Amino acid sequence: MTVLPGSRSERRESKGAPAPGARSRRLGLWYVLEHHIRDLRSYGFVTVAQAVGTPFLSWLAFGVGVGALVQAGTGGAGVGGVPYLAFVLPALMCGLTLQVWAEDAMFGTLLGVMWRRTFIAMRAAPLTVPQIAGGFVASIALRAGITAILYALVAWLAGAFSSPWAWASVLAALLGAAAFGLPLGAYAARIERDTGQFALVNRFIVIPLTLFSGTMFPLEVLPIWLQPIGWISPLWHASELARATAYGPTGPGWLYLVHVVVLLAAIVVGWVLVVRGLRRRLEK
Amino acid sequence: MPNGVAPVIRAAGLRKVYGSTVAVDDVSFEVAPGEAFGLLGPNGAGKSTTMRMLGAVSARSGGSLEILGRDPDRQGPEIRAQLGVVPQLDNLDTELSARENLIVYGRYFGLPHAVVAARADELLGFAQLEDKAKAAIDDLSGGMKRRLTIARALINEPRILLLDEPTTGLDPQARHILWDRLFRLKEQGTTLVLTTHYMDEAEQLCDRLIVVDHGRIMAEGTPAGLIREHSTREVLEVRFGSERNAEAAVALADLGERVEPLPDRVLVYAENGEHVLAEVLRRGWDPVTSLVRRSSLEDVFLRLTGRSLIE
Repeated sequence: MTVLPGSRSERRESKGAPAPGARSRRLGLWYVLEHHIRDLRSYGFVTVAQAVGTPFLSWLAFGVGVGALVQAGTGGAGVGGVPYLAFVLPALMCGLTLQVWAEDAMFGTLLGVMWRRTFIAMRAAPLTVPQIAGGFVASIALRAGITAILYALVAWLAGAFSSPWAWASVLAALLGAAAFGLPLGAYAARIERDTGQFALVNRFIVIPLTLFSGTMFPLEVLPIWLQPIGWISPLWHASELARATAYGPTGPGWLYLVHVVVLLAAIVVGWVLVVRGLRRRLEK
Repeated sequence: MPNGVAPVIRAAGLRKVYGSTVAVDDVSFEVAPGEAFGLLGPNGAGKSTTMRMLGAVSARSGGSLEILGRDPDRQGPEIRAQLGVVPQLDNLDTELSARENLIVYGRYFGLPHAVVAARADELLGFAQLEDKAKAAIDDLSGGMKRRLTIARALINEPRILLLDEPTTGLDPQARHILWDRLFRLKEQGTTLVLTTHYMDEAEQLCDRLIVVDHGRIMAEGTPAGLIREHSTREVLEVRFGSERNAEAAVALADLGERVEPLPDRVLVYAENGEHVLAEVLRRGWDPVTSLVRRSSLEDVFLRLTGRSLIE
């Protein structure tokens, strides 16, 4: 380490004091998260209202409305051996969690690098790009996690979550949301000019994912040529895991392992891309 | 550079290349502790790119650079922990109040909550924003936002303050308030490095500066020294109308040390502008307007590059 002779750095370091920025090197990610938590307070009411209100509406729609129709149509057997409400709520929880993550990843990234440029301010401090990315992702996970937990509580009250492992469905929802949201955040980090790309992402990726990921009905109901959309969809993998934890597995154990591996692989790749995208943006 | 004082910034042959574009080309300079050092040049001269390298956020493509005795490409966080940065575009968090902006920023440097809270209050006073502590960022004027950004840059008591175009876009009153704050920092011994394309700002604030254009250093020295070296004591500005300026410049070419025809006026460089103006009138050239002023860094830049600073 080069330190100027007689400089304040040398005097400080020769006394055994930590190098400048040593604390930020250890705790930088937490400082970034702390900042985002302050920002989250502005969205606190929206987060809670969305997380509690959405499952209530779904409860009414799929428990009393469509649910009654499906129950009658299946002679009371429901779907996958459980009532339609129990079948659909874990997947809808995954869908909402994924939407929250996608929204924060897209808009949060552009706020950070383009609109408010807060990530650029962070980069001028002794923080590294992985710390900036890590604190940001942790804050999204926090908001998405609160959404999933509140949703799961309402679903439990509705009687849709019956297994003692139902709490783990929150983890499944978060895995699916991260597997989709991280690559989306990496894409957002590369956008130089906002020309409405997010509206297209929402219309042509998020909504089709919800429709073709076995959310409202089992994936096997679709013709075989449409099923690959589900296979590559993080929402399908997450929904299958959430259902297994909410009311018990209905398929072979290895298949659930595949779901976990696919989601973890997408998360690892997404994280690498997010750091690379932000590095490119913040270090040019 | 005063003898025996180690520089806080040492750049030698500094170079930055983006694809086929050379943004900074063979730039060398040193900055002494406590000095106010400026980079003067037009937009696109490579000033902000140089500042990003000094701020240890952008890796250099060539040359050597040492900030506070460290290599920014290898020891970025250690260097940034001792810098204050005022960017060209405000990047305050509009979701937070003025005071909260200072607090979250102070935390990035690992400062305890009690310390950042005390410093935030002190800096709001320094920035004359005590009564705006709880104000939303969007409710602050442009000048207030700049002062808050400077206050934020001081939260870690930096050894070097980097200011990229600190007063661009501000009205004259806001600029003077900001200059006053920067003068105070200078008096306290803070090393200032600033970029500007305003010659009056460079003259007011900088002990020493480099004039940059197309990524290269055109001249280096004190503001007064540069003016002495590259221009005359006074300048006569005369306007004859856009149709006649070029013709007048030819006719008056022998009057000063140098005559510079611009589209809207003719500049005559001379030691005594009033004498030259009298001679212009005697020759029967009746200008629409005339002005005698002392030479400025704008004239130095015009002399060195043939172009105006603000285009």
